[in-house]
Amino acid sequence: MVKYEKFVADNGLRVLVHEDKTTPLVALNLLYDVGSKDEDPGVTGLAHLFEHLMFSGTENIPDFDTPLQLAGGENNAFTNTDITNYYITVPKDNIETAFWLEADRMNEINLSDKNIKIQKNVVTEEYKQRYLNQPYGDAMLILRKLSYAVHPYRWPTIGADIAHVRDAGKKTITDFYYSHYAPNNAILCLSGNITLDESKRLVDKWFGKIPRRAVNKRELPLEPPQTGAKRKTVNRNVPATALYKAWHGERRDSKFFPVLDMLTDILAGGDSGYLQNILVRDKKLFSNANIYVTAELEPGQLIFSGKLLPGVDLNEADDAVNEIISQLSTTPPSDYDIEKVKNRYEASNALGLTNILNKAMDLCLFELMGDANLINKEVDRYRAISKEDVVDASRKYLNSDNCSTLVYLNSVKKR
Amino acid sequence: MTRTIFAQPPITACRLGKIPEPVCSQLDNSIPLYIFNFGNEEVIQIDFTFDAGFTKSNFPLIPSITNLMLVEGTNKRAAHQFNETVDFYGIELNLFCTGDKAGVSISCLNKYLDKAIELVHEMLFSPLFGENELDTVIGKQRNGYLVSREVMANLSKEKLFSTIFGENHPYGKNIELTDFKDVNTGQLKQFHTNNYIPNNLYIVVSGQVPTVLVPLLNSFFGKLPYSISTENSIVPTLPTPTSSRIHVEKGNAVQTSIKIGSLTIDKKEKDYPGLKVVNTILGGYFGSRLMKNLREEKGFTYGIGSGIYSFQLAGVKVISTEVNQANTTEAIDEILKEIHLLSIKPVEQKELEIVRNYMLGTIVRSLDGPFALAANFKSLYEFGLDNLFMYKMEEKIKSIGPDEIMSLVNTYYKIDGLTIVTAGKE
Repeated sequence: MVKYEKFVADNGLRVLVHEDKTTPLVALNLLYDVGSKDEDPGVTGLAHLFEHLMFSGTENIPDFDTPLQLAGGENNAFTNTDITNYYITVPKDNIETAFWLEADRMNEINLSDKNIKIQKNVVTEEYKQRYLNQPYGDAMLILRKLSYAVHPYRWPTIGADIAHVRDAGKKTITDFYYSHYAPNNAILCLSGNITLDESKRLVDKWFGKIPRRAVNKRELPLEPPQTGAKRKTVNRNVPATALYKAWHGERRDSKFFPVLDMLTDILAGGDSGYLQNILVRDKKLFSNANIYVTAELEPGQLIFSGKLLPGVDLNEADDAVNEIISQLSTTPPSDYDIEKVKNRYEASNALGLTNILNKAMDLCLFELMGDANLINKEVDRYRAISKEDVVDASRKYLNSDNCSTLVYLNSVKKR
Repeated sequence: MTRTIFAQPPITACRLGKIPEPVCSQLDNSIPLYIFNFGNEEVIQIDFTFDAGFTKSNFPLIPSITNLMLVEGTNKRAAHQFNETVDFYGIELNLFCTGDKAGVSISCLNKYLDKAIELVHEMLFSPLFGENELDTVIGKQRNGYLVSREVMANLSKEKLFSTIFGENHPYGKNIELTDFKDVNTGQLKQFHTNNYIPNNLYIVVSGQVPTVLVPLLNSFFGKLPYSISTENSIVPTLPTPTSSRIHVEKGNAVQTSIKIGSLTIDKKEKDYPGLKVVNTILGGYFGSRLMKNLREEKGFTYGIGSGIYSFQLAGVKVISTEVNQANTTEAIDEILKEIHLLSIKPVEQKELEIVRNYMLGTIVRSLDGPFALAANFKSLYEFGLDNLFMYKMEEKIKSIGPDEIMSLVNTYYKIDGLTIVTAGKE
């Protein structure tokens, strides 16, 4: 049971406090309700570029990192399709330094031409390092584009094309800040050795004077249901043929989401999922095979990926995957399998709650989904799922009309 | 908005305080047992660590595949049954095999502790080593190996290690594709029999520990015969450090990976804490000289870092980054320039203050909670050290001055002793 308190500041900043006196630290997590789904299709990658620029300093604090290092703290951030999340962990005596830093860059940042140019270069190198400089690195770039027709999930957080980041003008970048970075578009969580009263005092002192801003109203295009299988084959210098599949799924806050999560765990959880047992161990078609849900706040996806063993026929491998999936659409998993994935979920949930920063991130994300207390309800939600739910979900979501397949073939001919 | 609202709050210097010590005991057959008993959740982690790393074999795949095969079936359960049971109880199994050590770390809900211990006992002391299972593991590892051939950071690291340790040293020996063909179950069984033995084992427990734990451990592990090990580590002589510049060509690379390094002292040595401070200034944190120069000022890279790592037989220091191919030469020049600068110009108090506080904060964070304490304990225990090392480190971080730093750089960062490796497109 994670105990927490919630209050809302006058400027709309939502605040959650989880006190844990056993740690000498406090984690401060600040979630902004902005991700790559909020980007203009012609200027993608901006949310992520912005995450970098948030570390470039302000007029008031030109160097973000140094004061935090002086305070013995550590920080980082990530951007995904839905949110931009900043976090700091610091010894409890210096928590005010974390408040000062986050409030200051929520108030104003320094978008100098030099900072913008440098961070564009850094992001370009990040793009190369993550997506181009390793085999299959561009799989999610291709798969998103293939499977989504209109929804902004069709581009990854790094951007549809790195040229968008390179060419983004200063005005576009500045506008993005003022229309998304605001107290009324953020959720703050303090987790660790700090009381509610102290949190209230510090939130008022540091964030209290930051004005509300006019946040862009979110109007995302609705992805129409997919009505036929899609397929794409790319030729690359890869060591093994690889098969990827994406099916459209559900929103993270949907009641069907835990069912889909359990479904993927039955297929690929731990080292005893159906994929591992059948595709890897018994039939020896794949060297590895996995499926997971993307856990996104708009309708997300189920993603299968597998690398074929040398000499295996692609069609045979593809058929074997489809057979496992179609079987799950007709025959329910055993009670044992259902109990297994529920136990697995309970254990991993408990482990996640041993860390103050994890708890802070989860509380913010659940609050964004509508209720921070979901953090305490997740295990019961999963426990309530039946094997019939799993079969229904397989039938509804894991069908071939709803599926996009991507194949990597080795373009280098062996002598 | 008035500026005064955003005036900097005062900063309190970090203190390490008293580090919690484990409860030390032994199982009935004298297997060492260390317990960190605290935590808010009803979960527990147990590490089983053997002297069964790469130093115990002439063939690098033998220790690692032996370790991976531990979960591929036991005398009681076939591979899929074993993993099925592990997963059913929500037990997390993490196998590890490093230069010196190998074993398994498990975590589970307390209510399934008895099952977890039974399963670990089975996998550690009666694994199957079946031919069919070996095929599966080899297939997966071979594929992973082929993928890793396309990652420049792997190629540069391997070349660096084989150069500074020598190609026949367990830390420097590289795996070849043909090696996968040669692995057979006989070798694995032999390696297991010789190295996964009670007298090579120590156990560390952390989390919310129930009273049944020690009796449970004793009933499964405390009766195993405890004898003196006959197996020795392979200790080849290390090559004399020389300066070299090596390129690994990979025509399709988008970026070039740079690794610069050499042998250095390990954490048992007196100068180690000071060297750790030097490393942090150079490239050990986000505000380091290398990050400031190559990322924040020049935009050459997404990241650059330097680290010092201790193994049982030697220590090593490595600077690592990936850059746009066109910037390779300039990036190397800048790295060497930063090292040189540290050797001739005293570090200013302001920068040193940042590094002191950053390092102390890092240590405080690294000791937060039972699992973190267990990890820290292991990293000391394996070198015959204890928390005295942590207190000495704290003392050095607080007291080191610019002159000592310069002298350490001149002793341990001789540029003509560094090996420079690049991997990518020439």
